[in-house]
Amino acid sequence: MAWIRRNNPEIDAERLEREILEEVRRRGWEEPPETGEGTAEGAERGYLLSLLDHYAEPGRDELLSGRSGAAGRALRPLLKLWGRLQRNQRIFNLLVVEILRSQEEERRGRDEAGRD
Amino acid sequence: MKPAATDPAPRAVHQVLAVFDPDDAQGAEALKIREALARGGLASEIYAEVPLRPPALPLSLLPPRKRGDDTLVYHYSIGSGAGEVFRRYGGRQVLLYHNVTPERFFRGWDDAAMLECRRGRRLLPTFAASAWRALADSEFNAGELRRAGFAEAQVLPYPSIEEGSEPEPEPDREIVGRFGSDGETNVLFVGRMVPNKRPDAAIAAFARYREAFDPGARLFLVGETAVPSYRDLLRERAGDPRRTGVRLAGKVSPARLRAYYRIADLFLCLSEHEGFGVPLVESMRARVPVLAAAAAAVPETLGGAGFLIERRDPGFTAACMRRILTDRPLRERLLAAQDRRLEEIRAYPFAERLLELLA
Repeated sequence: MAWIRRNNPEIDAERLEREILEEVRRRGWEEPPETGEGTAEGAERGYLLSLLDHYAEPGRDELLSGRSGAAGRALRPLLKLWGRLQRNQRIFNLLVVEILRSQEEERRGRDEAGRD
Repeated sequence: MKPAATDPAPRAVHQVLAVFDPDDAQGAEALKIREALARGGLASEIYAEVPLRPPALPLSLLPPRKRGDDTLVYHYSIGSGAGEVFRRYGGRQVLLYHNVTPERFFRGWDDAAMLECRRGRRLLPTFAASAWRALADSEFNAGELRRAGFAEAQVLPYPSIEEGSEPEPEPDREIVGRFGSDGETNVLFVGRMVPNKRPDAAIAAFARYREAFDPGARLFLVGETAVPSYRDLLRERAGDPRRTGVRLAGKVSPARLRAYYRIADLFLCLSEHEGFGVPLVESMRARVPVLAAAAAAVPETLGGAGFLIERRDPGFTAACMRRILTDRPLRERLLAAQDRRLEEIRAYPFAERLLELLA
């Protein structure tokens, strides 16, 4: 696979790629292709269920605050707490909907497979 | 429906969206559409679930349809209450798709965003049957629409930044004075600091570049850091700006934004997912060469311009940065291609095409 895309007719991508890769090798910078943050699999049901446990327990509120988004960040303490609880409630509701939906899709898939 | 003879109300083409912020790409496009529609003699207002600033109005104030050909344009980017209002409106429903970030990018970072994106993608096909028109601001986005069941999806390219714009503010003098005249290299990335845009990868590549080639160089990351856990990661990786050269500028005013483009020597974008890429256009406009990862709609936005790389390896990216920043003829060729691409974008008759699509 090319390292520089041949999209720009103004530049000699092949020559640039050769020369730049030469420098990369000379400096010992060759690295395996990175997978990077944020490239994990989508939210399958098991993962959603694990989140549901978290958001179902009000006592975990502090634990959750670091991963529950920006809402309430700038608010004063009481409003902040209120905002966080509201947000957690919203996340909980969204989780329930997505889990029920995923179960429904699985059931429908099984029914269709049964008919086949 | 036969218009106007017995109906005194002018035809309305209103817009609805989840959050209206005139400083983000979607809000700016809504404003440009509103201006174009008003010039075409159509009554047009913007309604948002969260109307952060005028002229947007609260969604609850959207007036009921008065004519059969009244039209509602829904800027679709995430599941929101605006969707239900859109569904109930009747008349001519136009869905304008700005893309929904795939949920996987938010997994482990922001559960609410992950679920909202999941819901946004899941609900998208449910609008296909009732949409009178389905529009997208890039071919990349139109492809997603077609796959979601909008067989007739069409591209209405994102309007030129200058399209119907108000006068722009002067670049902020403090930024220009402080960073623009000391001869040091300024590398810039502009965008929301969210996982899919990979500012973390930009920091890694910049660190390699600075260490190997340019110890005085600076990297400015300009944009809102809306995900606390990811913001913490970026802060940790950025470290002390006096030691690393990395500065997290946060969301800035239009004057400051212009100043960052003014002082920039290179725009570095290692994003994995973009539905269009307004900062790429802004860079071309500011005559800043663009080095970008060839992902999602980035190649389409740049057309035949920019320096597009297929990998984000810090070493390779750093060596590309070095080449662009030191090879003057290469830099000139990159800028010439960007100028041509910008002219293409400017020449597109956005307002005429919009009115044609909504006629």
